[in-house]
Amino acid sequence: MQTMQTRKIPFRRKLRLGLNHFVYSLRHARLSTVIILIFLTVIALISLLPIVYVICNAFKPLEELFVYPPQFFVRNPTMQNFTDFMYAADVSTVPFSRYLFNSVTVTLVTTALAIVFSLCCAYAFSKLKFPGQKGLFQMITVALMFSPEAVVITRYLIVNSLNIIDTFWAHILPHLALPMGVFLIKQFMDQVPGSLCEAAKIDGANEIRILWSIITPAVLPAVGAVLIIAFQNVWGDMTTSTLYTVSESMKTLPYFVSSLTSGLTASSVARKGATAAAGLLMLLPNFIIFAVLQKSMIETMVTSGIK
Amino acid sequence: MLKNWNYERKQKMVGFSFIVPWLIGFGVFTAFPLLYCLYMALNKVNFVTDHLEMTWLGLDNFNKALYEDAEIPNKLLQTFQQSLLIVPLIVVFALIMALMLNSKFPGRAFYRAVFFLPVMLTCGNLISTLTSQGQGSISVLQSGTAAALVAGIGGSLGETLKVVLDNFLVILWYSGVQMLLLIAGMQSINPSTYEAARIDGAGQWEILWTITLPGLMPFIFICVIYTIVDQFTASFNPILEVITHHSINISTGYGYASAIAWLYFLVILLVLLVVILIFRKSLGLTVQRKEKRA
Repeated sequence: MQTMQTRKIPFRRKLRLGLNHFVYSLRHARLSTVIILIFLTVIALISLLPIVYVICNAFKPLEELFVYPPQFFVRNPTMQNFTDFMYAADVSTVPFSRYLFNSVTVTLVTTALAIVFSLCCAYAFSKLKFPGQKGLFQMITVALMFSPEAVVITRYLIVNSLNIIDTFWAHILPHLALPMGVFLIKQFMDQVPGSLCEAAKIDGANEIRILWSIITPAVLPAVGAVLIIAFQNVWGDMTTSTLYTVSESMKTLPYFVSSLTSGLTASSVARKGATAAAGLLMLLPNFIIFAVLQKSMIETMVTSGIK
Repeated sequence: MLKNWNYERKQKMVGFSFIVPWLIGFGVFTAFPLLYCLYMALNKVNFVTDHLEMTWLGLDNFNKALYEDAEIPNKLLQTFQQSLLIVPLIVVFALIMALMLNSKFPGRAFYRAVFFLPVMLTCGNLISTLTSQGQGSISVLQSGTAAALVAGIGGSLGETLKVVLDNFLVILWYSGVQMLLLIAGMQSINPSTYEAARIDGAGQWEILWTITLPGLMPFIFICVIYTIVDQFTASFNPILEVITHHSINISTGYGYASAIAWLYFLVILLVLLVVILIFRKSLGLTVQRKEKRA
């Protein structure tokens, strides 16, 4: 039985094989390929700079953080910032874990729901027919242009009249309808041939089944992009915390991080280091999503090319 | 006959039920605030302890913004010019990068992952909120990065390098999602078309202009729209700062801020209409071609 299964190759061996292959193909590469590689390497390095900057910042001692002009690399790396951050988290009025819990819950629920809603809506616009379809889609395209900053106060009035101030709903609901999500996914769905859906319908699949097992896999890259946009919308957002919630136990992480340095007291200056450390820690979920999405997105890209 | 009609009606209801959840959220938190905002723009709004006091002004707020406030037309024009320059740059850059990442070369998967990482970390408002707490504004981080890097070079060469690097970082930061969309778009072009072209003796250059680019048109269109929206609604935009400033300012009031917001909205709409007009032809063309093929 064992011979039937493919043997798992250990990671180190895999890495060595990959590197060997890389070196081999480099030796036999054409000049144009080498130029592309050099160009891409330079650009990749530059685009990674801000990340390196944030990482360096987190390890800078206080006096280096206040140096002008700001230094790029850290000279004397220290863990002091993280200790400061732990201390600040310890003495906060509401336990730090509460902020974390709020943030994680809100982000997970909002991102998941936003994607599902966008998918359903885009599917209806792209593959189904209903009255007022064209007009509604034009309305969405127009709504893309309006930035949330401009309607902050009217949104507050609505949240207030819905009686959801100081609840999780106040964090979640305003972010759910993402015009960009519908727009992106719909444009990708338009490229999927309608005959695929018809074939599935003849085979007896209902609309939900068609959407889930035929259309969604075909537009995964767009879903990935929407996931990124929705996640970043929610995770870094402070407006819902500052405006729609009152009690400290309903606020989210970005609010906590910004409250570290609010005011110009001696402690807030000293906490600048803690903020720098928090900046890096706030990026952790992004790294996790990257690790999860990276493989699947690149693979779908490759497989969808082989039709 | 009746049965047929019923089926059609049922289909319509199914279609409608798919958009209802989204539509409710959209109506309550985007469409309604927008219209309410327009109503406020026509009023002078005062916040009294528990409700809003409105006095009808008509178009006064708009007149004031356009003719009396020197700052507003100026800032509108400035934002418009900036975006006019940066949007094509971003899209073309993303297109070139996507073309490169899509060509065959050793270590392609690795490079794609490397370019995917900044998409995950830097586009969107997370970094800008972080930097606004720690480092002032987003531009300080950019020029800080650039300045620190070229500090060793000095002289006029260092100065030029700094400017180039400065703008380059902006373009790089805001072209991540576009790259992703374009690569996905390229995968949707049928490989057999390329094969046929190659057999017919087409060179790389001809293939790029006659197959890849026309096939990509719908995706380039998406990218242009995305870039415009991204640029115009970024929270560090000068005009949005004015709007936020006026919405807390009691003497000018929220009505005035709403009027500016709507003016700005109209400017973006104008840009969008121009883009749609430009792309209408090429989008129509690709659709026709597909129909012919089918």
